[in-house]
Amino acid sequence: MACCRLTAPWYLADIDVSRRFLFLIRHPLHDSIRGTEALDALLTVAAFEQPLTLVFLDEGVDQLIRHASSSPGSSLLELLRFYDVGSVWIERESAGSGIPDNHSHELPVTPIARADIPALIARHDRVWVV
Amino acid sequence: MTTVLHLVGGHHALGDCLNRVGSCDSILLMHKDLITQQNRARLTEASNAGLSLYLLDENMDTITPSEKDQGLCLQCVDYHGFVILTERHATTVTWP
Repeated sequence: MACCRLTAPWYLADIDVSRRFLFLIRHPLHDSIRGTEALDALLTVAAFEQPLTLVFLDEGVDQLIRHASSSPGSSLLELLRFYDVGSVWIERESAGSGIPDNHSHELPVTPIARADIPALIARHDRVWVV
Repeated sequence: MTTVLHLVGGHHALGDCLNRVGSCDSILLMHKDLITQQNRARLTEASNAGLSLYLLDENMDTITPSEKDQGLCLQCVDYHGFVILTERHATTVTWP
């Protein structure tokens, strides 16, 4: 898959416009218009090389678990790896025992406790809940 | 400490939000419909825990003193108050 990289012009080089983005994914991204919009936004943020964190929770964990059993090359995590997405978390309480194994071709997924989500939200400039 | 304003729009979103809200955060309910009997207990619990709860009411002129509604400490804000709230919080999160 082609990966779009946008380079800032020289006169913007010294201006720090980076924002820390957090996406809380409560539903599978491909199951609704809102999810598709969020995926577009997510990839746009990644294309502009902004710090990006993803957290899968509630029904959103199905996205990870479903893709974990799919063939290599079709995984969302594999796609995100091409965009240098910083960190991917999965809420432990939502996943239960279904936390997917980390594969070498995908981004590593780290479990996070529900009690730690507020602190994670507070550490980001922009938060998008899907 | 950074405070977060949570904008809650949907019935399911309220529960999801309350599960992940910080102890110093604020919640703005975008619709009166969200205050159901089922949600009232959880909102009261959140209010007692120290969270600030607001209800968007476009008919209100400004932020009013806390409204005691069957034990639920809820402040009504109009759109002007809505803007003030977003200015007072470092981060705004919308729960659709």
